[in-house]
Amino acid sequence: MNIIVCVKQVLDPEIPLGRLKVDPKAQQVVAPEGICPIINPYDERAVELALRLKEKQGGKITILSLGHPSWVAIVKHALSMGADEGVLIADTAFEGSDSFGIAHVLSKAIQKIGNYHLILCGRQSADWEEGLVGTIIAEKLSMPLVTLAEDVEVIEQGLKVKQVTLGGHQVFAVPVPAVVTVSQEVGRPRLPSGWGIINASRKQVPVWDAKSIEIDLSQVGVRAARRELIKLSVPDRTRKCEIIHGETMAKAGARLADRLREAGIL
Amino acid sequence: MDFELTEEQRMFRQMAREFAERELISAGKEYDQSGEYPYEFFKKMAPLGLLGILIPQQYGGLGLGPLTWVLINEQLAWGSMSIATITQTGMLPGSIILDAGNEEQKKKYLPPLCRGEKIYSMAAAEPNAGSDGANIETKAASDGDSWVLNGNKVFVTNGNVADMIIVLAQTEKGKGGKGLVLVAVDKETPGIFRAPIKGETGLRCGDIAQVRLTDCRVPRENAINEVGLGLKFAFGGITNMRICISSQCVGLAQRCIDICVKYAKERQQFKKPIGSFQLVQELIAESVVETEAARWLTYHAAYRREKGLSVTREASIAKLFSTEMAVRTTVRAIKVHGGYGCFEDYTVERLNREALITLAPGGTSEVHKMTIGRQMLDIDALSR
Repeated sequence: MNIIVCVKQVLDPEIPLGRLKVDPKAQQVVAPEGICPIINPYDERAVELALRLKEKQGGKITILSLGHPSWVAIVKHALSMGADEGVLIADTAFEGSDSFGIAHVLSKAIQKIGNYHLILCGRQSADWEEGLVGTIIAEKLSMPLVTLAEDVEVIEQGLKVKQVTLGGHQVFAVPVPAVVTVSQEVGRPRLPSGWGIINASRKQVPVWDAKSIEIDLSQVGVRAARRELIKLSVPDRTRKCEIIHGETMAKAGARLADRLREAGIL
Repeated sequence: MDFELTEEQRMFRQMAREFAERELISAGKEYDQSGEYPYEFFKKMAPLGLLGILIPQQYGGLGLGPLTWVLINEQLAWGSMSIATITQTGMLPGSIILDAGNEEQKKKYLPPLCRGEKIYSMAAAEPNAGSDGANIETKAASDGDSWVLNGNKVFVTNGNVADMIIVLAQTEKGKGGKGLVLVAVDKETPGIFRAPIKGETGLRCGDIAQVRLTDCRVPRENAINEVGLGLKFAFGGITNMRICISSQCVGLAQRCIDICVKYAKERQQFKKPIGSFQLVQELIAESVVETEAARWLTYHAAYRREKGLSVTREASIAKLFSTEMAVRTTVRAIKVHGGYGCFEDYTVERLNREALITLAPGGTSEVHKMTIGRQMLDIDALSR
């Protein structure tokens, strides 16, 4: 089973809100000094799922990332976990792409890699949380899609995918090749072993530009974006404390529920 | 001079940090309270290669250099000084076997160490010979195809749990360093008796033993290298451990700083966070400066060790400064916490206890001062 896993780099979601700043001109978040970006945690879980499938079924795992050349670090991280190969796509022509542009580039790269049975993506990114790229890739490559997967099993007809729902799970059987987006219920990703790190550090990660994947540039970049960012700001969080009283705990609880409904929280 | 870490070193540091965050932060407190030996961490660290960092891959290790080892150690100790110490102490006998052992000994002892299947220890100090290592009294008498060992050892880290103990013994009275030999003694050997030494202020989940050897007969081939070279190879291993202890002190001190920064921002007095008070900032700033200094002294010693350069002086400087720094940093951390800092519920209390026990192993601060003094003055204050 040959698997391609799409990964991206994000700011560490554990960074305290107070340390984040926004550059209003560039409309970008400014990373605090000394804190390294990380692999998108959902994508890391996609890598973990791919490794579990490889352990059972064999095959090859290719890591694919679209971003800045420095993102080779997250590709290497995935390699150190046990993935076999990595490819980084980097070109200034892709800057400012929205989810459609990003999915277009990744789809072209996936077609160039070829020989795959499964495409895995994290269910969303920890920065923008749009959760669209995996879905659009499936559309572009005309492949079946299952989102929010907790587990994937290989069966005779293809794959059995366990999807997380609000109330529990539902299970789908899908033919391959397919796209699956992976949810955090997959579990904690493994740590790289020392031998994994040594092997990964010795591997070369090729960098592909727009020309090498024969991309239609009208589909990518800021001009092709279908949504416009109007404003980016750090939320202003204020604290208010309101004490809810009641003659008994039950009455206080009822008043609390009413108050939460009024505030639009419940 | 390039101070940047390589890609591989960054990845190892990151892996060790994640392991510390996931596994060691909570376990450090639990094991300190229970006092139980953390066997589970040998099983958890072995698959990651963290028990054989310096051991070549052909013997099951990672084959990395001392600089990467200290980067990893610093993060492990940031998570838990005790568990880092206990699991990395195996590098003392491990590096002795690697440097001094023959191929058969390396193949016999190193792979199980790396797999976490065996724990080894080294027994050098005695009731009357701690800093005075050349004048130990444990005897190794040659008898046909055996060595017969008699003597007492103290402060043997991992001594009770060890599957094998490397014993430093004297083959001929009066010969001093020239008569010393290292001998591997398996735990089942008749004549070896071990008893725990309890009550250590820090490292409460650790194992410290006193070991008595009474007519303990071991095969001649258990000698590690030649008679007369025992002290040389023992010091080689101890030099590695001095650098290791230094890096662990840096990790412990950094943890103190991280805890104090968080606390000083949250704790309010006079309607302000205490971090806004100048003297609280001074406490934290002093710790930052000293921790950075210790960090780079340690990296420098590890770098020299990795390059095969002489490192006695640098290892002494790093060990002396880092251990004393760790004690000062933990005391400052307690001060930042005020009265709360003296209670077990606050991590800085445990970190202070753990810092204190780093002062003696690998040579006391006073011995290191004399080592440095001897190098500078060509006068040996230790000589008789």
